[in-house]
Amino acid sequence: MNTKVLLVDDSSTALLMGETVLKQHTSYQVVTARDGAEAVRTALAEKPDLILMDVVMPNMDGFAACREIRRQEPLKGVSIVMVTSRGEPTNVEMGYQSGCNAYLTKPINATELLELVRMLLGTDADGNAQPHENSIMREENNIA
Amino acid sequence: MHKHAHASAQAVADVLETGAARFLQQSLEGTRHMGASTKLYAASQTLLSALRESWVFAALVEICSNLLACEQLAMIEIECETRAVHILGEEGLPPERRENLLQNARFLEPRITPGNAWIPQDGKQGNSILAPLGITALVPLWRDERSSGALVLLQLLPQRNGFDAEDRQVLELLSLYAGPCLRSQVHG
Repeated sequence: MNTKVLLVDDSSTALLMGETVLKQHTSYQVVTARDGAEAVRTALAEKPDLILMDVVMPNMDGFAACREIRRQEPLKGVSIVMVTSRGEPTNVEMGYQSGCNAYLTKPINATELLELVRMLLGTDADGNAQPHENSIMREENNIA
Repeated sequence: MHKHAHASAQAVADVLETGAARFLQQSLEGTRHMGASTKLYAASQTLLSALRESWVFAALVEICSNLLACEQLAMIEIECETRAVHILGEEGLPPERRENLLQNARFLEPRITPGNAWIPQDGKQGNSILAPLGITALVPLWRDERSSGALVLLQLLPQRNGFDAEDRQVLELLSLYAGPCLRSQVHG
């Protein structure tokens, strides 16, 4: 099954940027939403593995959407990255309090985005699971 | 005239479409830095959509905000004869900065050179008249016998302290195509 990423932003430019980076350089399936409320609905319908969530959006902001997603049992394991123009410590703290796993500030750096997404998903560019350090150690011990 | 303007809009759209396809290919092949080519693709594609759907100024705000992290900008016009300054569009401009721009933007007129974005931080010497305006970049939009137009980028988001190489390529793209897109939208 394909690894799925949900991109949430009210800016078509930001969505295009994120979608292009992920589609060009990974085999992840990408779905999009334009505001927080749509993000919650899409997340429930699509069950993504990771969500990249803008903060300032109409209808429901990214913090509220993040809290709402964290309340949903079917979305328990999803990783959420807040992507925002505001990188001040208070905003970062609010993001973590709402339940996000990581924080990125705009403008999006394509390399940083790919590294963070791959790290959180534990996959390589093709979506294959990457062995964690301790599992590599376990394998080495077995060989020995 | 109308037919000519329409043809001109189509010509701009064609150039943007070709450019967007090239940037996308470069991003895939890695022939240009991935971040730069992806940003250039996103900017070209946004301008192209905006040109077709007549929301060019909003597209410029989107590009500057999301790709350049600029939170204050204005589109200005400076009349050639009177040097009167008009603000034709703005985003996030505080009142005092707006007033300052209206009072002093006429001094920017010599810097409005089609095809060349001006970035004050590149200057070796500070400019005592322009410095208080807090300009981070000036993107030329048009220059004709009646007036000059430019996009003035002011405050960047707190996490940015200037433009990097990727930003400069986006500014260069805007200095070439933002003006023709706006003019095509107006006349088309």
